[in-house]
Amino acid sequence: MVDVRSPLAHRAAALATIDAVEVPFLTQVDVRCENADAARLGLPLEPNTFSGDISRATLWLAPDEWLLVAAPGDPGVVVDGLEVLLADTHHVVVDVSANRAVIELHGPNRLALLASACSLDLDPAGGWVPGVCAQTLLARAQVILQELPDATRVFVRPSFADYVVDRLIVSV
Amino acid sequence: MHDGSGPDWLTIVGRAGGDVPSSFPIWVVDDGDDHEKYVELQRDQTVADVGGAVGGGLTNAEHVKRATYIGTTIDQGRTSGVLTAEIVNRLLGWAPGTQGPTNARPPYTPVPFSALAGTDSGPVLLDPIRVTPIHAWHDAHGAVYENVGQWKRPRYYPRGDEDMDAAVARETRALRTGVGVLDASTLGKIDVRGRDAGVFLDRMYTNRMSNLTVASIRYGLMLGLDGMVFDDGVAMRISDEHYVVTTTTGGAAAVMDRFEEWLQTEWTDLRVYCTSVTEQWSVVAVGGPRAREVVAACGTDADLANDAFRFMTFRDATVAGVPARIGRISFTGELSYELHVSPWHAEHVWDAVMAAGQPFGITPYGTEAMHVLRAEKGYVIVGQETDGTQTPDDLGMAWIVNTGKGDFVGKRSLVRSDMLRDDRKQLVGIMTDDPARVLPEGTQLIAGATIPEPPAHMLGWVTSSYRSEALGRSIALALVEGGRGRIGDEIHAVIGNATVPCRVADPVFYDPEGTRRDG
Repeated sequence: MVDVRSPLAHRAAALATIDAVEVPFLTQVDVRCENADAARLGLPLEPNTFSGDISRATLWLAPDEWLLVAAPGDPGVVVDGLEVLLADTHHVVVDVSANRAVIELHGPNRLALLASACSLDLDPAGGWVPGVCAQTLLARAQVILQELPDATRVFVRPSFADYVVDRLIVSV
Repeated sequence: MHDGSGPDWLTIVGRAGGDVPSSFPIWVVDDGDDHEKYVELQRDQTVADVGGAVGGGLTNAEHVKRATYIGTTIDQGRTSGVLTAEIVNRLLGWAPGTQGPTNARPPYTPVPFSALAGTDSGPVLLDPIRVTPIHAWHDAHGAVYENVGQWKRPRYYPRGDEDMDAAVARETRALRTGVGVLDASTLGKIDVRGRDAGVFLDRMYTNRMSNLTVASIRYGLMLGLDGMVFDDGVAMRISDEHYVVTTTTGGAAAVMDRFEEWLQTEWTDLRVYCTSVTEQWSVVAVGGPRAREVVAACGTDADLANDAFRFMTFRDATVAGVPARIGRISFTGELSYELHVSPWHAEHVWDAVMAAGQPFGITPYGTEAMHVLRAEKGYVIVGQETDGTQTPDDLGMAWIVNTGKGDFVGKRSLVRSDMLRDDRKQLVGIMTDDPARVLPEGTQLIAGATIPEPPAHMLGWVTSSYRSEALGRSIALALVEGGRGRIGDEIHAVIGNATVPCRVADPVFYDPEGTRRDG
């Protein structure tokens, strides 16, 4: 029997104090390709937005880079599917499922909490609404923020995950 | 305020309205030399300097400030601002208060740095602490840590009341005679893919990567544009158009930035994409004469026989029930297998290796033992043997520079006359005459036993220094002027006011034939 361990398995109680949970083992696939191919595949072309929903989403990360996020499973299936769709184009598809831990924050105060450690304008009135995402810094860690209806996801390198939890707890 | 009861440039404070003032400010005394009347103590600016500015046509205190730098120091003019303005007023024959001091800018009251840092202060939050997926195990087994960049890496695992020297001796002995295991997850890893991946890597590294065989590994050195060693690592060729390269732990982000910079600004015609996968893979490095038996005992479908699985090749296989990329690569000179696995499985694989290694006395080892083991082999650490002023040849690594393959970053600089001097500082070994003596790192080296009058001619310095368990004595690496031509010569290390006699040696102290890497 193989023990699998997610990066924040040991911080569940701490996360609960800020109305957050780890979403472990999500499938995450990095896609690099040209815009014409991205358009053909229906990847979002509007910077800092994502298509899809909480169960499956494609995040715009850069002019030629997207992050596909899907339920835990075999990332190889997603990679292979994209390889077929992008065959004969200049592209790469890389499984990065373990490259980032995912923290999901709930509750009405979640954006105020994140804003205390983030220089990005996270006010809904300023445009931070469900459907947007951004690469930014949360205190001193690089993160991707994804705004969902009633939840915000924080994607962070696992080595920084403990630090981010510590930082958010202090902010409360 | 000004009531004419004193000199017309005086401002009366206190009891005004005709009473004799009990005190009043004096901006300038008339007697004496204006060059000795200090206005701004932090910049040594005097009444004469203010006079010079006004004499030059400046009338506004803000302009005088910029001409003299008065008020630009740590107190932002709190001790000099009013004084300066009033001296200017006086020199111009203006009434006191005609113009006031310059505008103060924050912080004009003392502000502790902690107030600026806010929440991001203290031992946990000042700088992020990065940990590997095996960190809990290290904690539970008493690891003493070393900071490597932002990472906490186990430096050694003391047993009982062992000090560092005792623990490192035990850990290195295990590697040379049995088997040890190292958490190497912090290695930087970059996935490099695309039609031109090989061409791209040929331009980034000094040696050729485009002719690397699939499933093989090659060591590579990267230079700055100045021809100086910038980072090192290995390239693994996964397929024709796909490599994974490793970087030093501390250099990972800089190498990634550099790859992107060259691709985005200089070689936009190359069809290559780079992806940071440092944390997509954890690395459990199993090394030592019994390493093959331990990996086999973990359960693997890879054929580990030496003929089937050669040094500097890798296999995608299963180890301990999980997918692993097994690389036969060694930073210690011993038979070694790097197990690249998912971080989700890292603890499982570490536990499996520890269990499988138990009959062989497997010993977890830290970065300190790793440093000793690689120094015994004369392997450099970028940032330890280098400080940004070493060429490959300085490090005795001219063999890795392929000048026939076309251009690469830093190539042009390698033929500048200064780079070809034969008295450049070169990497050598240093053996103290007293085998028990361990030189401090950074020790300066001179030719004679007597320290000459300053300025003394320093031949170089010690870059790494350890007690070697395998050699039963101290060893050191050093950069020494024309060092390769001095091998066998006497040299002296300066410790305080005394010198320690040493010999210059070849930097490969242990197993120079490399016979141990096959187990």
